[in-house]
Amino acid sequence: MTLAPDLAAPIAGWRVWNVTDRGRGPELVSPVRPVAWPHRVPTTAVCAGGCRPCPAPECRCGLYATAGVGLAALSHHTGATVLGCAALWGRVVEHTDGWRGEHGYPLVLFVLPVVPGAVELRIRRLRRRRSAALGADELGPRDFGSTETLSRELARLYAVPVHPAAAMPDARFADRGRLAGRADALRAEAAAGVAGRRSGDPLAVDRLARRVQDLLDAIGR
Amino acid sequence: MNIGEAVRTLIVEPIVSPVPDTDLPGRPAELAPPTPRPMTGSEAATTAGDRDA
Repeated sequence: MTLAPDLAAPIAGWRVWNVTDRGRGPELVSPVRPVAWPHRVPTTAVCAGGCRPCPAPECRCGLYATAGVGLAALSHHTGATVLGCAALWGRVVEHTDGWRGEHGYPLVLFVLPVVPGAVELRIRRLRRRRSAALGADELGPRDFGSTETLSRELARLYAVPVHPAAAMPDARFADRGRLAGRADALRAEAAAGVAGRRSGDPLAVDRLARRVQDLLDAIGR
Repeated sequence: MNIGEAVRTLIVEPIVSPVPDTDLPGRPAELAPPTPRPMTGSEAATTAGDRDA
């Protein structure tokens, strides 16, 4: 039986990624499981427990994204290198604070600054552990020269807008006030304008660029 | 990551794929590196080629 679709545009949610390089340039990887998000093709969720279809409502499988940027920002302490909005589509389980999707692809990305001092040592240990599971080194912006270099490479490879960010939105305040409003506006535009941007509509490209600038201004760039 | 309680399951079929099939708008297309121009006979005669490599 074929189910009638509920939505004809992707759902966009916030999430974070780490970065690796398996010989094809920088590649986004999940900070939780050793799953890479490849360039120019959708990432498809596979349930470790064997759920079919995946994601199942009663399981925890699927590609995660949050409604508010604050929940995603909490993951920065695990060494996430990139924050962004991802499109989710296919079978999508809606939660009270986010979604779990079957297919995903980034829509807009922000390369985060290097985490300073003692936190970095803990992150290095986490990265070593995750790299072993992934079978490739997990890397930070310094490994690519700078956040600007990594941003340019990710933009070229994923063909989506990528911006260096001066800071991760503070998780304590990211779901309140001006920052939350701008993050929500960006997430909404990332999803609603995808058809226009893919067809090369300059107005759609400009609308997203303005929402990006608004958010960067709010987090202090 | 805790995203709260599951509410419902949606079937989402975007009319336009979220995956780009071209380069980023506003960026020049990625060009392949230029292939070497074939040399004329006289130019070829003045180079050592790779016989000494």
